Amino acid sequence: MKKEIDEIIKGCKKGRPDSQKKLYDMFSKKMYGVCLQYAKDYTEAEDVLQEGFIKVFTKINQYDGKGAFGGWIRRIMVNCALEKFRKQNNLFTVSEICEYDSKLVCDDILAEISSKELLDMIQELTPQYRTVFNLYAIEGYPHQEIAEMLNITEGTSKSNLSRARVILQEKVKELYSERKSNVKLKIK
Amino acid sequence: MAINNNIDKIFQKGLDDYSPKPPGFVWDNIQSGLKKQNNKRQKHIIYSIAASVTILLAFGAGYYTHIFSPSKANGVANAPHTNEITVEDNASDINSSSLRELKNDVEIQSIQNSEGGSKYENNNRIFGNEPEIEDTKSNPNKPIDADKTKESKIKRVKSEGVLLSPSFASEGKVVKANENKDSTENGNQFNDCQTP
Repeated sequence: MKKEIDEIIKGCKKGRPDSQKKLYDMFSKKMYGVCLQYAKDYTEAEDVLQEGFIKVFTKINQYDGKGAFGGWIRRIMVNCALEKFRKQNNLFTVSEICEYDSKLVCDDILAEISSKELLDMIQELTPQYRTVFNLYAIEGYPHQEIAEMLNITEGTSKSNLSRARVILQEKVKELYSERKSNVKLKIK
Repeated sequence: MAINNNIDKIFQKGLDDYSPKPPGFVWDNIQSGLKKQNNKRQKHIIYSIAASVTILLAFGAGYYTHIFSPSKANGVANAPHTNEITVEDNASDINSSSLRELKNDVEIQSIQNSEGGSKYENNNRIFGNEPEIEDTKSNPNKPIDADKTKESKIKRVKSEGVLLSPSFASEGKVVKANENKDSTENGNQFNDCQTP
């Protein structure tokens, strides 16, 4: 697998179209998922994916082979999504800090709620909540870096994260209880 | 039913494996986007080459017109002449510098060989008649003979009454120098006698 990727990367560095196609086939699905996380809808996600892959192919010579190639592509996609976010969201709304209730979420939620539904929940968030939540919860960036990336204060990043968590938790809880009652009804 | 306090983890896990297939037109758009970028690069390269070629041509044309312009053509025609002059200058310089290095007797003998004129002319003659100088070295009698003829010439000039001519004045100097030379030459002769 590693050798295969290395050969594909070599081909892409030479600008060979067949290698580019192989690379796209290998990573497009995963990256489409990442783009969907950051985008408000499918159209925006497709735009980000397209721009991201063009960047990957034009800047592939900058990849030095250190670190996972998947991580490198993912960073490019996230950066593309952030560029779009910065263009679209020049005005930031500062929201109040809300503590979210952390008790009600269950581990088998994932058995009940599909990835697609989780994604829909994320996409329903406002762009800034969504971006902060993705960068913190999914990518694992600290608030300080998120604040620099989005040109906001650390406090804003923290408040946006907690607000996003509250909203997502509410939605997950709602959907989960809905499914549970359906299951109970079925059993009855 | 284990309770998970962290909503972050739910989304992390839930979205980790989520990889839907993107629509086919995305790849087509990527390809066309890459082609556009390549075209841009090619255009950029072509334009930069064209610009550099035109700049080179412009400078080259300017240079050639500068060289082959009619005013400069005369300069080219005159150039060898000036070169000659400089060569002469150099020769005289070399002569003067070499002269300084020569022994006194050589200098004196050369002046004896010359028939009047300025010091520079004498120097040039020395340069031209180097083998002769060597001859004079080997035959110390020769210059003395020449000196004698010169003295006779001067006497003739004096008798003719051409007293104010510059050539005469210079010759007078030569005479003076010759007088000095006689003494040095005698010394050399003395040395020659001593060396064997």
